[in-house]
Amino acid sequence: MKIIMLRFSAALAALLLAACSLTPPAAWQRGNLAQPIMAWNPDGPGAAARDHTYISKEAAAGGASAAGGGCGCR
Amino acid sequence: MRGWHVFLAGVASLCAPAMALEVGQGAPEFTAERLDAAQPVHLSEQHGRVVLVDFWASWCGPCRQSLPLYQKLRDSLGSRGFSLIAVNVDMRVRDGQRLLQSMQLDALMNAAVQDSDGKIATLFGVQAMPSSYLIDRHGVVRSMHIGFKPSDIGALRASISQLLDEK
Repeated sequence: MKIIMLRFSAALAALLLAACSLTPPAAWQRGNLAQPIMAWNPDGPGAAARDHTYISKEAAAGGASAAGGGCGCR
Repeated sequence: MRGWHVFLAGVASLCAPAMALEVGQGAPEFTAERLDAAQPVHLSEQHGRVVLVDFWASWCGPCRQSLPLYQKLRDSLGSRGFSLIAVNVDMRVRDGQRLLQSMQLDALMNAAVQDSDGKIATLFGVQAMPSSYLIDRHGVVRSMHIGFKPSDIGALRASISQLLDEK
């Protein structure tokens, strides 16, 4: 009985861990990610204006973006 | 105990990445519906011809650049034994059809096939969009190309011509 419980616990733990895993979408599954609404910043010109103001006020630029994302195209 | 091993193997297989096709391997056989809903396309029917299998989507910018150029390749090299199979991976088939119509590429419709569930892309192990695979007359993958820029077309045309000259 103890062994069965142990196995059951291990299987449950494996399933829970699998549920936490994050499988990135395949290259051909990125259609929804490529939609404009999924853009990190959907308002390009507005963001550029805000960046310009920020850079002028802070006398510093960069550090506001991250690599990656997009539709998976090269 | 054997069941336990099977369970662990199953969990491991969920984590395994799709196997990518490599140069020198035989191209996997597939059958796909055409975008114009006519006769399905079988890769095996193209045996004896040089085939470019290109994976594209309406949401992929470089794909939009590549399609008109591939159509020109098809026009100029088709009579020498070159075929194009343009595999559309859009989840909604209508998106692919609409793109071809908007780009006035209706002529490409009979070379474009649907892969909305990604089965063919999985068979080929597509890693990025667009990806293309050049297959020789014997069904062997001779080169593959990830991404596209218009300047790539010269090298691609040369590769296709070289394969067309092979017997």
